[in-house]
Amino acid sequence: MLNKETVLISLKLFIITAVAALCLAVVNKITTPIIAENNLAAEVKAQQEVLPDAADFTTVEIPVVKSDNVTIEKMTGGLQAENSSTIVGYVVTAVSNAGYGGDIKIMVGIDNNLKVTRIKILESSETAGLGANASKPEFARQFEGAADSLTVVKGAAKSGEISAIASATITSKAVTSCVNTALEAAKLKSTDSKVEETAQKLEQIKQETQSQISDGEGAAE
Amino acid sequence: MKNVFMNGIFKENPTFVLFLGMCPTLAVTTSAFNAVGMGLSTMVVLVFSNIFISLLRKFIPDKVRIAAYVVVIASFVTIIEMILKAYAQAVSAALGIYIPLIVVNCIILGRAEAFASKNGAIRSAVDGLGMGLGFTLALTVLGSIREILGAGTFFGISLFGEAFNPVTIMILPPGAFLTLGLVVMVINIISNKKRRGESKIA
Repeated sequence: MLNKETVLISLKLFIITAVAALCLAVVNKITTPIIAENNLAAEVKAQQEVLPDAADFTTVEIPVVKSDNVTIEKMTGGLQAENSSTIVGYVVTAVSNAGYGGDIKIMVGIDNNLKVTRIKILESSETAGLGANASKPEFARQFEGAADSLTVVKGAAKSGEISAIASATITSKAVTSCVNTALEAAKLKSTDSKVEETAQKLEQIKQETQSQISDGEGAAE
Repeated sequence: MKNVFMNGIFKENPTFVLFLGMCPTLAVTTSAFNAVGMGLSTMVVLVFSNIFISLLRKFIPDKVRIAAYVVVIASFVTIIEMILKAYAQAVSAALGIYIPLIVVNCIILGRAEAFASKNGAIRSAVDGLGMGLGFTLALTVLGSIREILGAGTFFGISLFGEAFNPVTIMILPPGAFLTLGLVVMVINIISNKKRRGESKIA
C-alpha cells in the first residue's frame, strides 16, 4: 500500500517540476520570437560584413559542387539595394568537417568579379591559441582578393597560396577548402545566371522577330 | 557573515581545496579571458540558485532533495540563457558558451546541498558570492598561467614579442592538468607551513 509520506513526496516533487515547466514554457514563449529576430539580424549583419557592397540579401539555390569535406549550408545573393534585383555578389556559408576540433563554419563574401571580399568564421571548436587564431585578421585577411583555388603552404605565401597558421595546418587547410568550395559555387552560380540571362534575351528576340514577321504578313495581305 | 564570504575564496576554495567543478576548470582555462567569463557566469548562477534553494528548503522533501535541486537549477540556468539571448545579446555572445556548461557544474549542486539547504536566503547569497569569486579567482590564476606560457599573451595582449616560442602544450588539455597540479602543490606547501606554524604557537 502507498503510505502517506510517499504520496506527499511525489506530490511535492510533482509541484516543483510542474512549476519549473510552467516557468520555462512562459519564458520560452516570450523569448522565442525575439531570439529568432535577433538571430536573423545577426545573420544579415554577418553577411554585410563579408560583402559590404550589398544592402540586402536573397537566398539563392545552391549549385552542386564536389568537395571531399565541405558542404555548402546556405548561399545568398547580395542585392544592390533593398527590393532591387541587381546582384552585386554572393555570400556562401560553408561547413568543413576536416577541422582539428570538428566542424568549422565559415561565411565567405564573393563579389561579381568572383573575388573573395572577406571571410568570417561563424563557428569552430579549434584549439584556443592555435587553430582558433584562424579568426585573427593576419590569417583571415589573406583570403581577400583571392580568385582561384588556393593552396596552403607553411611559411611565406606567394600569390594563390595561403600561409598556414603556425602549428595549425589542419585548421588552415579546412578553412581554405571552405573558401575554395565557396569560390567554385559562386563561379557556377554566376555562369548559371549568365546562361539564364542569355536564354531570356534569346526568348525576347525570338518573340520580337515573330511579332515582326506576323506584322509583315498582315501588311502583305 | 564575513567568514561565510571569505570561506569560499580561500579556506574552502571550490577549485583548489574542495576540488569541485573540475570539468569547466580544466576545459575553459585556455586563456585568462575565458576563465573570467566562466567564473563570473558561474558566480551569478550560484548566487541565485543558492537563494532559490534556500527559500525552497522547507518545501523540498529531504528524500528527493537532489532531484528537486537538479530541476530547480537546470530550469533556472535555462531561463537565464533564454533571457540573455533575447535581451542582452552582447552578454550572451560573450558568455553564451559557458552557460550550458554551468548546468553540469557540480559547484552549484554542491553548494545547494552543503549550504543553501541549511541556511537562510541572505547567508546563502553571500556563500554563493564568496564561492563564485573563489572559483573565478582560481580559474583566472590557471587561465593566466596557461595563456602566458602557452600563447605568450595575457588577456590577448602579447607579452614577449615575436622572439618568444610559446609552450603550446600548456593551452592543450595536458597543460590544464599540469598547471592545476602545480598550483595545488604550491597552495598545499603554503597551507602546510601555515598549519605547522600555528601548531608551534599552540
